[in-house]
Amino acid sequence: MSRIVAWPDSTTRNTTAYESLDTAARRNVDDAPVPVLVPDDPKLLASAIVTTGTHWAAVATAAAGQHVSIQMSGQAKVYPHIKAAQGTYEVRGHAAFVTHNEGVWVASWIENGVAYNIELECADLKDVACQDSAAVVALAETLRFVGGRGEVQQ
Amino acid sequence: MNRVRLAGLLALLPATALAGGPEPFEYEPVGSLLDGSGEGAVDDTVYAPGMRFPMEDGPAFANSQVYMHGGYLGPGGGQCDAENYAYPWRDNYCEIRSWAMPLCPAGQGHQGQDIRPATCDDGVHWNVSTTDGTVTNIGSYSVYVTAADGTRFDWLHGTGNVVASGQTVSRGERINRVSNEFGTAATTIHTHFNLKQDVAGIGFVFVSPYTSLVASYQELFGLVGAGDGAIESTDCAAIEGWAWDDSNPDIAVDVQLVFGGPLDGANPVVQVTADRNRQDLCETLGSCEHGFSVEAPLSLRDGQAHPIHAYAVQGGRTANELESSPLLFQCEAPAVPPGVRRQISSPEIVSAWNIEPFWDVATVDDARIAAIDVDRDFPQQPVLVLSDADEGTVWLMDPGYRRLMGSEDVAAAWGLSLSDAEVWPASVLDDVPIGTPVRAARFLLRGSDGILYAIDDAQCALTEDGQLDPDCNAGGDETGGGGAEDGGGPNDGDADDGVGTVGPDTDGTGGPNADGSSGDDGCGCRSSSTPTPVWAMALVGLVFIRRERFFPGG
Repeated sequence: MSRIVAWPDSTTRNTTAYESLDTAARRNVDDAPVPVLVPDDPKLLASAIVTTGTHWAAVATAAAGQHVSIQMSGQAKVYPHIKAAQGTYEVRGHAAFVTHNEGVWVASWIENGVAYNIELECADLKDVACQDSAAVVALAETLRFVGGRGEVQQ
Repeated sequence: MNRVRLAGLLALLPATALAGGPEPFEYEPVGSLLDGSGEGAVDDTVYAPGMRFPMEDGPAFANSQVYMHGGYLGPGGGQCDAENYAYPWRDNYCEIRSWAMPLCPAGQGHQGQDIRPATCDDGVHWNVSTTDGTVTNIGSYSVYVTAADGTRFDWLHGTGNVVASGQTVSRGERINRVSNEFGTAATTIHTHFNLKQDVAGIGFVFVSPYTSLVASYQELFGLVGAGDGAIESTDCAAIEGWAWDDSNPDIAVDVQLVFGGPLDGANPVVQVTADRNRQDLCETLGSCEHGFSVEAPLSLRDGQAHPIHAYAVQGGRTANELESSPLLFQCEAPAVPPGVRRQISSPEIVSAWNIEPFWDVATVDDARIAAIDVDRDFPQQPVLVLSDADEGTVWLMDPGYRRLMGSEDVAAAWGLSLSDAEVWPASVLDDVPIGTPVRAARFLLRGSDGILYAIDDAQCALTEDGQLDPDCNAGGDETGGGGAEDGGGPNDGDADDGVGTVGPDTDGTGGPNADGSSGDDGCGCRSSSTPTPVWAMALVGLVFIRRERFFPGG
């Protein structure tokens, strides 16, 4: 089932972050069916790879041995046996699930009507960023809206 | 008639030996974890129907890394112990871990399935793509591939990637080799395999990969089962046919119906057991209990021709297509009942109301939808309540109104149960204006834009003090709604009873009038600037308390 995307106003678009992406990534942001969020760290922006599907977009990037993966979905699968649940964390002002397995930290939440997911994987499992949930939550807070094909013009 | 779950189901048999595989293949049932390793998710949904097995060759062995030989909570011995490389497979999704996993019974657990390759050799066996898709991330020890439908497939602990982030891959294309990579650490030689999807009601979540792995493994090794039969008829109410295994007529064969195309993972699949008594089969087959009948999905009633493929399966084996398959299903959209349309604005609402779009939502042409007046959005979640002064009447709280839920049948028609009703203080509930009774049947529709609507009654506008406009008659469900039998709640027709009423109650029932005058009388109905009376504030508090109970904060 399609999610109804609440496109952020264009005034909230972070042009600095957008322009820090390479040409291919910007092109895919422009074509994205959902509002694309990217980290505001210049090092992560410089290496970001943006991919898109009919209803989704994804960002993959890395710096200093930390790999960041972001998924954005505008289409949910409906399974009647799965009941609604809310995570107990708060991420970007929204209820969120935060989980950790195989060394990868994951936060997921719904924003703009879209399902978002961010993951942080450390090459060195002893990296301080992968010792608890703080880093992935903090990383999520740094995400900036950079565009998408349904962007609302102000 | 059977009503079966969508999404590709597979009847999994415990420890079933199958011929034709790399050796007799056995697997424990989904959700059956090793003793002491936690509580598994007993969920036979195949979340990725049609996917390819994620390793190039077999045999492969799905089991626990932590709780078997070589694991830090295992029985001792090394990771190459022969027991680790033997059937049966064992589910380890939801195995004990300490972080949130909303689909696990414990609310936390292991996110995927561990799979060992054919031999205990590092960097020899290939991981391959399960699907045509895009490589959406490569980490230090992970590769993610996302399919067109948004399902993400994860391979962890591999080595020697031959793909790159951003590239497209084909089903079966090599990704890397099975290894023990774990960043700067090491694990046992295995692939940790995840399925991740955007699921209504939750958002992104790791779903159980076990049944998808079983099905794909069987497909890879051509574990073709027996079974024969036919898909015989489709009308606008049901799809019928029969299936059996002539070598074992006492066993009921399962039938998979695939809507819109063949069984390739891209089309909706439902499964039903062919166990209905059909007298016409008794003579022909010498055995009678082999019929099946499935309710026709409402979403396919759009005037277009939809092929339905039917396959017999048994013991979880790969399917045999039945005679006359595919059959064409072509029905016009059902008549849309009168009323207003209320948008169902998110998958979370669909989930909360137990709506199955494939079965429950009619596909209606855009012009017909446009002709239906738009009203308030559909409630975010169903809230059924009882008054502590009258526990015999159940109300559905529809923001601004309480609406009579007339019977268990009506509740069931809306995917609800009266037993879920909560008791609220009469002092709060009695002040909530009464809207029209809940309709006896729900009618959901969508057009080409995919937006879902419920057809419902418009409600009367509220006055400044939060009560119903006394001049308004909102009408209601002419088909019943249950209100006519019990007076529609506290208002027995007396306009002065202080709780408001649905409208002029000419038959004295409080529900729809016997003369059919329950339709719109043009009162103008609800105002868009509804005031916020004291009772509404109290409701907010009660709903908040309710949510706290279901979703404790942390």
